[in-house]
Amino acid sequence: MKRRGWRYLLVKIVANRALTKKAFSESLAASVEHLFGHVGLAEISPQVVSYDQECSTALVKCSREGVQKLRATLALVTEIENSPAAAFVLRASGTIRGLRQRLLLKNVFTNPDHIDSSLRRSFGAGTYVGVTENNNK
Amino acid sequence: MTKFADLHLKPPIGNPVAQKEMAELARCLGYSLVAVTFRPRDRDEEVNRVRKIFLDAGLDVACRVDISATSRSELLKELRVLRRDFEIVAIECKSSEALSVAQRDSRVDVIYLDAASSRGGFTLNRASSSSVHLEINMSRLTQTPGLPEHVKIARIGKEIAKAKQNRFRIVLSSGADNSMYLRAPRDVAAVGMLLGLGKEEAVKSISSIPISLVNKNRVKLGSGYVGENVRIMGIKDEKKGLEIPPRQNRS
Repeated sequence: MKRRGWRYLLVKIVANRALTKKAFSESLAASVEHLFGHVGLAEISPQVVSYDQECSTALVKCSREGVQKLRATLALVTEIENSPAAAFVLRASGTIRGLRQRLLLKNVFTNPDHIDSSLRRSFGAGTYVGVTENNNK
Repeated sequence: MTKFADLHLKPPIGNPVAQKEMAELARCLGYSLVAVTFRPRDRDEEVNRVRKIFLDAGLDVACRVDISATSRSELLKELRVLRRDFEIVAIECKSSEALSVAQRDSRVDVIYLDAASSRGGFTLNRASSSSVHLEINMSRLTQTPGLPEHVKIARIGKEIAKAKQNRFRIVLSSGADNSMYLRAPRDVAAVGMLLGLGKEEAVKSISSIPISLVNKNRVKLGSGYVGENVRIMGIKDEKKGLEIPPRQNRS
């Protein structure tokens, strides 16, 4: 039997208030179910692997076949727990290690000072990690 | 590396902080070109100030105007006045009459339908000489209240199917008026796939198609442009040498 392939997405969440991993995870599942139904949810199988509350970034795992559907779902997120929110996929990779390596590589070349303070405020302190280059693969 | 473009940003004109935030975010998300929408009555200083904010963020900027016309005469009058001042001329089609004229006029770059006119009997029928692109704005999905999501998706899907049938080129844009409604280019492409575009088509709709449209219009608005593949390279003057009178526009 063929082994199931996974993709890992680094997602930045911008919201008016701080979110917990549980809140984001439930909201994500609800959004996928709302758009694609139970069958779609099973096919995509989104799971929040880790969530950094300080930087508002989440590492989301999904099936390889469902990655475009998950991206579409995240793009259509406009509120989480009844407050305005937006989600951006910063990076996608086949392995968590690959994602981390790319982030570390980016971190060496990036300068947090050149990001505007207002943007850093809305994005959180860790905005500069990996988002200053436009390699949005 | 693929270059991405968002042809429809509507930053609040009197708010430099919001403009800067949108510019920084667009750059961070991976866009290299954005078209900023201005109103026809916006002063040149205002336009240049907004352009500078986006240029400083490291983005290429194109000026865009949205014409919202309901009748043929109104649309033609606006086109006559505005065409040479903006790199992108977009028509928001509020009636089938305006849509019919807009999709045949070579001065129109982009048409988009509002939520009401896309409800039913719109007819997309591109003239062979026209280079009109159909724009699908993400804001119709994220910012239009009232309609259930499945209805919006079905309507836009129908528009895309008709556009493909009539060989329109499709452009995906955010239509964002604040940074909360901007989305990463590949996320927008994923939404395009959800709406009925193929993977390559969706990526092209937010990269090569809008970029080539802007480049083509820059050539047209530049000095010396006469027509398709015809350009004045210089006016030969025995005494003064080469001289081309420059044309004034907002680009």
